[in-house]
Amino acid sequence: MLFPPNQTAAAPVRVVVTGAGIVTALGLGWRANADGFRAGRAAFRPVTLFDVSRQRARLAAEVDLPAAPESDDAASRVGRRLDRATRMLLLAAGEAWGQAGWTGGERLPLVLGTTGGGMTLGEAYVKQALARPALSRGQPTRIVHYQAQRQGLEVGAALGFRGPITIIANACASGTNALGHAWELVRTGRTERALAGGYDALCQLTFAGFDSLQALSPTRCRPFDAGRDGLALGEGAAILALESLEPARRRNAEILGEIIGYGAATDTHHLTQPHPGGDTACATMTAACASAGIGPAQVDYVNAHGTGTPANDATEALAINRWAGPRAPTLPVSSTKAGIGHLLGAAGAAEAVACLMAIRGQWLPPQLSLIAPDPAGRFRIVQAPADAPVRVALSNSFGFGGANASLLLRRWS
Amino acid sequence: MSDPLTGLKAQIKRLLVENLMLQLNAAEIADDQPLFGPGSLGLDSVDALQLVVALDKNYGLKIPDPEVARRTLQSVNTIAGALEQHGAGRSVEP
Amino acid sequence: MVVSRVFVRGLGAVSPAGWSLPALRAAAEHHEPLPVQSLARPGWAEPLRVRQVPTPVDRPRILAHPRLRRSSAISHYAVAAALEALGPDVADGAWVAERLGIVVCVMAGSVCYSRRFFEETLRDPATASPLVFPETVFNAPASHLAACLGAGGSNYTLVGDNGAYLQGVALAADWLLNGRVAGCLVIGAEETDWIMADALRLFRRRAVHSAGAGALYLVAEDRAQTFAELVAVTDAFSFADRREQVEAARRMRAQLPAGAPGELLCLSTRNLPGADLAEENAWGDWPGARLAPKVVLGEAFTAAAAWQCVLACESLRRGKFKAANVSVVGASQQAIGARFA
Repeated sequence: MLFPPNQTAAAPVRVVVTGAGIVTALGLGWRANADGFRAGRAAFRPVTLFDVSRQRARLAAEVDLPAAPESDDAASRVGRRLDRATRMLLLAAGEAWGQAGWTGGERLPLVLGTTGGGMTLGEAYVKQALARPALSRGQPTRIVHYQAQRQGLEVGAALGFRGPITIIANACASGTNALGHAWELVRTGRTERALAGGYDALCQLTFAGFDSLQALSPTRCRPFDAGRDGLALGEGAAILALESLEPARRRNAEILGEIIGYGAATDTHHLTQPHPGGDTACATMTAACASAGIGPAQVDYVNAHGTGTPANDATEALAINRWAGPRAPTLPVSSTKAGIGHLLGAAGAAEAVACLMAIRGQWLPPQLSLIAPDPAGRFRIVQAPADAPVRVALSNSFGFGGANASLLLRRWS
Repeated sequence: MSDPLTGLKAQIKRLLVENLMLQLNAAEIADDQPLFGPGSLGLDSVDALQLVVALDKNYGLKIPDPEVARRTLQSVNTIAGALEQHGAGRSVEP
Repeated sequence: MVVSRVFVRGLGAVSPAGWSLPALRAAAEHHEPLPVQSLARPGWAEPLRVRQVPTPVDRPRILAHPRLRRSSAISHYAVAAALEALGPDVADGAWVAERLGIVVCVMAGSVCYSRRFFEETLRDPATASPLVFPETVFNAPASHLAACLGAGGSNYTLVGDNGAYLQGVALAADWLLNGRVAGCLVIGAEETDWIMADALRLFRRRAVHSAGAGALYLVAEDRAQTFAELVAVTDAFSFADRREQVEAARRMRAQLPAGAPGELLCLSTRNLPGADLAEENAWGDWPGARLAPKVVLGEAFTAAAAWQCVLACESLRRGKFKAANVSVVGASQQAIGARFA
């Protein structure tokens, strides 16, 4: 039963990460992405997926997906039929599943963040419905596979497990909310395991939408730069395998890290603009620390939401200053969106994996695109690759509609 | 014969109501009423972007950057003035 | 203070029957399918069949809120239903700001502006409407509702088939038990658009696409004046095809009590040939009364699942039944059920 919960842990259970999978424009899988984040590599290129000749911005962080295998076994046939979003999701989920060494499962929750689901199929549906109104060939398949819950079912089918599929669509905070929700399910004893993260594919509707708001950078995405002029879009997927500590220990699984805190709140100021004071962002970071029983002094690195838009970075800088207080001047902060762009529904999940990589590798992901830091931020922006003791990392996501969320990850020793 | 300018201003007011989904009718908007800022019609940056697109689509008026937009979009009068200057007194029939 | 029970304190609904729960109840209990309107489908002579929410006779004051000026219909429905459910508690500003949670569940979601913005993009991306795009995000209704109420706490939008609504109810119950919130609105909301009616017709020729919203207001036991208790939400039994749907419906039914004559079963069946076999088979043994609101109101996905819960709780409030099971067998994801008493 989802309610009343069949067994609730007397005291909160510790939740560890035993598997992680990631796909971004930096590459497919942990190794390619860890190298990319560590070096601060930027993976933008002119958009090839759709026509951007009439847009102000022309670049995006596109993923190079392997050509769908042509051989005729079931997997490849499935591979061919699936849209970009599903293929990236399956790659990330498969990597996390394999690393965790999980095999099957009945009531295993899958919690995913997304903003568009299979939007490329939705676009194809609308194009055909307009251009060839009498032709319904292919339309039912597009409608079925466009829906986010279908992508969730594909993950269960591909990896051989069943369970409730929960899709959270909280705009740019979806990935962090999905990990936070899954963390609470394990922490309160609702389940011993959960697979969670986020995914989103580049699509023309969203690209044209952000460009219509003049939110896309016509030059380069430079988060926290005094001369920043907008965000850059990316695509990808990132999935974590979360597990209660005892079962993970019993099967002596390799533990990649631990989720220790999560905060979420809503900024009701405006649909697309954060409240300039940054109250909600500050409250969200404070709540995440409170749930972990730590303060800013114990945080070694902040992976900022840092989109590169004038409004977000100004508000987030103020919020980080207020939240960090005396810790601010020595606090390393960076936005990995300078390298992989804004992955929307997958951003929070990919950035949590970046934090995990920093924690395991003991290094800080730099942003190389910075020319002159915005003086508003009183914290240290990581501008060059650097080894550093990183025990606790905070990942922020402050999105459209006022969806604010922060996640805390800690090194496992 | 209605004064072409008041004709243009009436068109601009209808354009405002339709494009910005305003919950009032065109006649209620005064020619010199500020559109943005305190005590105004309460429009925001998204409305400004929409107005720039609508003036381009309907009159071919190009507003290149936020600074020009801030000056041009202050009120129905300033928009009418810009359209007059642009020589687009006659509206592009939808 | 350990919370272990969850109660229903308010109900709200916007539907093709009108802008209130009484209007929904009257239509549902009349059992007569409401009239169908036609919706033009570009490129076709023959229009699509839908059931629209009527223009409100006296327009709810909340719809004049600045945040709702540019929003599409789905946000108007969600906010109106939520306010009806929240009732007098809306006045407790500080409590709403900190302790009220919001869960909005959608399937098609902001489909009207999404289709409209993409059409404009296909014509010319350089002049696609910036005012329309922000309203296409799935969480626009939840964001507008939070702004209308001044609710700054936990706020999730869930996406899925009809059953996503009951996952939303279970999520709200979890938040109440964990003390993350002290009260929670759970809303199912949808809007009509020709693109969605067009898609629905491909799967169920005689289905009628419908729209509106339903809202439950749940509280922990310490805030009384409640009239029903959330007794259970079954597991969410996912299925990928027709065969698995039958099995999922059966397993969902098995997690809910056998039932008695004085109890109600509120079903998600639509009285369409072949559409409801899985659900009908699962509940063949139900001894009590039955209600199938979608036969009267049409296919409104998560909003319809919300109407099922709202009607079930409303019948308990009137003392017409002692307990009610709600059964939701979605079309594309899960079978899930709930019980109120």
